Amino acid sequence: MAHQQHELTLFKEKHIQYIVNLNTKDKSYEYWLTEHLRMNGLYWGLTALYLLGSQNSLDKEDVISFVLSCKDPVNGGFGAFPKHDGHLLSTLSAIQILATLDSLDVLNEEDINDLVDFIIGLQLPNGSFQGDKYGEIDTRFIYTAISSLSILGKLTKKVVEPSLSFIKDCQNFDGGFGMVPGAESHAAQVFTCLGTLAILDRLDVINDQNLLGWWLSERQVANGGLNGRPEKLPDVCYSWWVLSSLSILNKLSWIDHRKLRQFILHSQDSENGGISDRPDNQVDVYHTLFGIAGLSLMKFENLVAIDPVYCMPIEITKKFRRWPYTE
Amino acid sequence: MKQLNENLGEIVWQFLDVVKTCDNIVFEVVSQHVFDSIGDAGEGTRSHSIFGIIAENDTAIGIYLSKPVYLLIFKQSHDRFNQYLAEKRLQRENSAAAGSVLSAGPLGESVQDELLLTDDVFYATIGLMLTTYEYHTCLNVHELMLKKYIKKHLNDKNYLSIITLLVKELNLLRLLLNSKLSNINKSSSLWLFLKKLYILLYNFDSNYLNYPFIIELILQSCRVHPYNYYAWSFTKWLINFLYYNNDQKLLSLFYTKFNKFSHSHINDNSSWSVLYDLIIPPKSSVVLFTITEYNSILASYNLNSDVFSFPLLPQNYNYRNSLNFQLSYQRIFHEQITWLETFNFNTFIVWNFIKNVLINFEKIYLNPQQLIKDKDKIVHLLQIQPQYQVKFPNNKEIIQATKDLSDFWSKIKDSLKTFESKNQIEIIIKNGYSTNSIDPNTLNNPKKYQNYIYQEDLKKFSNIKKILIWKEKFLE
Repeated sequence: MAHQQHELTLFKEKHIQYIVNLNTKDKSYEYWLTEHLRMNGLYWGLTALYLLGSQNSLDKEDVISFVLSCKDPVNGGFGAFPKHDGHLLSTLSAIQILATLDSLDVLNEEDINDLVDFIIGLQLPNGSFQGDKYGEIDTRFIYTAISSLSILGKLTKKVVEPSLSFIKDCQNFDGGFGMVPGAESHAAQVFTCLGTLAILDRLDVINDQNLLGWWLSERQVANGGLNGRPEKLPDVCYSWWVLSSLSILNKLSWIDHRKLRQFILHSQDSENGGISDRPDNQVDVYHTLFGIAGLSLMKFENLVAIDPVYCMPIEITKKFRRWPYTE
Repeated sequence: MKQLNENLGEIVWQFLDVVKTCDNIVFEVVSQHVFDSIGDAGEGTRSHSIFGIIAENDTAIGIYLSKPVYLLIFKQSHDRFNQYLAEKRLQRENSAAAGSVLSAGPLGESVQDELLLTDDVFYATIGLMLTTYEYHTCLNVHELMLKKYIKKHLNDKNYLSIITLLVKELNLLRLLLNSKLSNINKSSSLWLFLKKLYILLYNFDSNYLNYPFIIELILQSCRVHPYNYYAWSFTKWLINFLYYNNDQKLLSLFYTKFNKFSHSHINDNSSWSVLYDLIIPPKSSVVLFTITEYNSILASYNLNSDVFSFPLLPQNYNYRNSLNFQLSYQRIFHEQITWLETFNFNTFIVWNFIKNVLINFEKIYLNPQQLIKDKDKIVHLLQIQPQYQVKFPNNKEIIQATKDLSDFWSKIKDSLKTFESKNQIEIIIKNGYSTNSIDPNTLNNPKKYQNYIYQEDLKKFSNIKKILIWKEKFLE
């Protein structure tokens, strides 16, 4: 996976082709080994294409048809693939895909009520959310729930207030947030908590925004990449989790953009397209999206602008109903 | 290998009996070439129908699967599981078309769905657990079948069969969580499953909870995949649970093992974070979350709360009762500080840990200077706690302990001041994490602000991590 040494450039066309080709590899083991992540993968791919200015590269009707075929008739959520159980992660991805395609109206009133009931039904008395009936609790699921309800315009005080209380309990003395109360601070969990607080217009819940900003800025290592916790290796996906968090805090300048750009661009596959977690590793659509999203946030490469709260194009999110609802 | 039409998931399940007595395992998927060379390794090697086994040292066993067989396990399991999903969906659709409602079975699914849960579906879920990660639908079915078997044996009051099954599930998880397949080794769903098995065994018969086994499972996972967030999160949960039960003996065992691991992994922030938890007890809100989750997991198994130990109540926990003062003092001074002074290294992680422990220890047990001032009152207070009466036979020990703590904290502050003075910088310690003081005027000029971080203009404002790690570049 050689990359240009003399001049760094974003291989836009290569990445577009890489993403589009993913759906044609249905004879490979890798395609089926990741069947249970398909909905997420579709969201990552579609969003990346949008940021690259190529949102029409996937057939819109095919995508919508796939999304609708993943509805779980038992719990009302969306699964990752047809006949799979509904889960919050795939539900958010499904809603994000439909919103990006400006096609939320394919969901009728019953569909939306089923979705809302599914999401709200996963909230526990302490304000946390389970991912599904398996019972995993993680601040990731608060974010997916609140973001889903926000996109659908269905937030209520009954859901919001306990969520805020749980997030408060997940703050640590180092300024960061963990997956549950007492858990180690982690950049991805920082994003999910900050994203939730931003959607709910409650950044005031954060004990010390400067301290958190410092913790996030500490994620940048000498080669310009960002890690998720102290002493870990940098990973392109933290170009999103850390950068979007800093953006939400209005501290985007607290890391070196030039060096991060270099790190992301060095992580591309210049021959086949796609971006990996770090230079010279295998590419995948997840890191492709978050690398491109990070570049967009830093306003490099003339990409479509991305919303740091929703990880969706701003053109799409500006239509969302904002909390607290006034009407 | 044997005929291709064997149920590979069942072979994996049966294989667990082969490795259950091994203290330490590592599971890896390798190319066919490497796998064949393992078979030729001679002494210390054993073969199995699909797994290769090699003794890596006196206690560790390496378990290998060739990639072609790995993919075959996936295909076979995927096909059978998808067949089950299709049958389940068809059943629902037929029922809906006929206008009938599927009646609920004992496991909460429909009676008809539960009839589809046969042994080969169970083995298919095992094959998928081995070859995929975060496959929620598969884990839901696997757990449903576990509940089915537990319910069946509960009705027969056959607790031993339940325990045997749970122990085997624990071995399955060990195979997965001690694998070199990083997506599986660090799977949040599997670490939650381990938590569930722990809670179930704790309730059915805690004598079957082999804590050295559990500790080694965690540590081996973290050796294979360092900074394993979900492994350490599970560990924190378990430690909080032990604090709730005030199980000082087990907490000591955990401390000994994790202390040794941390000392040999000085850059592993997660392990040092757990070590902190083993010295400073958790806040009430953290323990409340721990037991809430415990209660919720047990409730999901529809176990009789009259027979089993739930629901647990939050008011039974008091962190002041949990803090063993002398043990904490010993752990901080005689183990951590002495070790740190012996090796004299300056990694941020360890430095941060020491400061955090001292500051929060101070908070929990008041200000050390205050302790000395009110020594008679405090001594009396400590002595009336029954668990301290044996440990503190006389006043002098307590006074000396608090004085040492106070002296050491003063030394830390003095050495910081010396460092600051020598390097003309200011370090502000805040909430146990050093930060810096930013001139608000610089925030309007990001470029100038960046200069404070990346160039040598650290004379006024600084950050301790950057001092420790970047001091060669900036200050020397």
